[in-house]
Amino acid sequence: MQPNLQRLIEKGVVWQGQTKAPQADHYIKTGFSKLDELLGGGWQTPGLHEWQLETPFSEQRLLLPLAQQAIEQGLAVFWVNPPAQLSAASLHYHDLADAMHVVVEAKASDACWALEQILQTKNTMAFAWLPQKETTSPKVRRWYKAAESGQMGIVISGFSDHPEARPYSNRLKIRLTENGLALDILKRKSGWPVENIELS
Amino acid sequence: MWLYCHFPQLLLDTLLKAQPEFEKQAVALYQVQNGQSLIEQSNQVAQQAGVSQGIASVMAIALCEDLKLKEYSVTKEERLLCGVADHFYQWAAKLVLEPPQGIYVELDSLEKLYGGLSNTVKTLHLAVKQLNVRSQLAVANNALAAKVLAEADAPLTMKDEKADHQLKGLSIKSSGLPDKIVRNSLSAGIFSIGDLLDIPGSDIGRQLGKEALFYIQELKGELKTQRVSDFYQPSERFFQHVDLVSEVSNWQGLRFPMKRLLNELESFLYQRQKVVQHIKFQLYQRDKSCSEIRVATASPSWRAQSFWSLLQLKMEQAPLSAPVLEVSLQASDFSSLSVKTSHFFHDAKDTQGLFPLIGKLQVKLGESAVYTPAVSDDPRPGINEYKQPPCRFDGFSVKPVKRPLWLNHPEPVNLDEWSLSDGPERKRCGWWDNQPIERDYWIATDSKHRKGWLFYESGQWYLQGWFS
Repeated sequence: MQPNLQRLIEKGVVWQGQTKAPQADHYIKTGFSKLDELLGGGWQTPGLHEWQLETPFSEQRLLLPLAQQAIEQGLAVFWVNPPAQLSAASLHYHDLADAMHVVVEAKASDACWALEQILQTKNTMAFAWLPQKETTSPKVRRWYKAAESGQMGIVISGFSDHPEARPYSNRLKIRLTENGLALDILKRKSGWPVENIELS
Repeated sequence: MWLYCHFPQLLLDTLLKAQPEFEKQAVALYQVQNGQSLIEQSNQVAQQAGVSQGIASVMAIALCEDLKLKEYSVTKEERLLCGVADHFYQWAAKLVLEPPQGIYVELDSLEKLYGGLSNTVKTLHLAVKQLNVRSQLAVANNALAAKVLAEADAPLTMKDEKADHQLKGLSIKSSGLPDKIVRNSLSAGIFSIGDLLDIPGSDIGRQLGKEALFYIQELKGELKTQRVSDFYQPSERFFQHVDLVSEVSNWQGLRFPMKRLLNELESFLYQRQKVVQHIKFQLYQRDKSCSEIRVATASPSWRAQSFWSLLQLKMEQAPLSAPVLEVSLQASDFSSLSVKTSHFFHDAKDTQGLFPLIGKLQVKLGESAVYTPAVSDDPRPGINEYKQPPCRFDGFSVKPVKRPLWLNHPEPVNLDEWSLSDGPERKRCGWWDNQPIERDYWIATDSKHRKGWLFYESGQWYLQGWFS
């Protein structure tokens, strides 16, 4: 591909016409019916989703319902470079403990490698906390390809000031509000971007 | 009936199997006897150049300039013979070792299993072929006759009369008798084993001594040597050692021998229906030092591939510290293949891919970098949390209580930036191990609408976790 065209695609200014993607196997409910509707049914699986957080530690309301359903489906949940110590007592409280949780702590480059390995393995779900500078387009493409064999991954990072195109299934900006959560959906498979979705 | 398997070049053949790149070069093993270095074993290329057993090493080098020489070790060859016996044990239980190069196999007990003598020998012959080392086999109605025939490389036959005829036709030099008896026999005009068998026993005893008499009696089947108590018992631990023809200074050169050792371990474990979690490679270096590589899988395994993929990651981490001359692989602490381990993947749909994944992550990132969070019954928040290996699940003995998903090391905060919403939860404990706490825990919201877990202690507010 022409380098100039590649650059434009990465910036997200070129719309690519594609043949209709095959129907995803299924969706995992987000825990919010409004969000499920906007995402075409929930979190697409297999798939790779991005959550950009305005402030750290604001992902739990989306994360816990997802982890609960992963465990119901018998999946192993991998926590790659979590932002703080994952509490087993909290997992126990949320009825998530009697299952499979594996925490992986590594420097950012190794964490990217670990995420790819996890996404290549059947019956896993991965949450990975990575800085924006690590989530380059080639890496995201590799994770996406790895997840295609049936897994789901969530990449959690900070807000990106200059969002460039990345092959995520869905990209969300998450802010905490007085009443709950506010989301901007930067990219979704089932429609155009939408802003200021209030979830309570 | 007995089958005798003779491996005339067991050590050399094994050496070349580990480093097949040397097969096209002249390679020989020498042994120092009475101050003289003599060739003990040589490969085909060396033999074509005239390097044969018994000639002086100096002569061998004169005949073949490129000859690669390595010292012969009877101990190493004996160890290899045990490995061969382990392999045979899959097909035959009654084995007697004749170190360093031979194995007797008792056939009568196998005939029913394999459907006759012919099928038994065919089966064992195939088993020998799998070893891919030079072998000479013979069958006879007594163990000694089979051994003499095999060592003389007589054509394999299962007919008694033919074997008897072959035996009688063998030179007295092939009898395996001590050199002194052979010399005396030749000077007395006894040139073949047949000549020896024709002489009455009393004359043999008088002329050649007791040893020759017992030999003849055993050969005729009149004297049965008790071998039953010597039946081989397979080892309960795995130890295999590979000598390298020449030193290897990079991982690439060690890949083949290490993979071969892993395949042998796989076969060892398969035979015993066992699995193992930890294995240890030892790399013997030129300066007599020895470095170790330990490989541990996330769950016990018998597959060579499980260990190989982890070993490759270890290889990628650092170059070889020094050139390697020998490699060995050790494994013990086996568990039964059928034992179900108590791991937390018990409910997972399919754990087949998960254990290799965890093993891979542990090897690349370090064992402590991959773990599962666990909680003890200690009432002190934070202190009760600990890390456990990722494949264990001990269950929970504590009642679930509301705790934040993320825990921090407590850090002082300014309460003005928080609004308290839920609490207090008083914790006064820890007197038993000199880490007492006296805290009031609160859930509070910060200016960014995040819910934190704060506590008040000794006049200061601290943040210990996040609920949001």
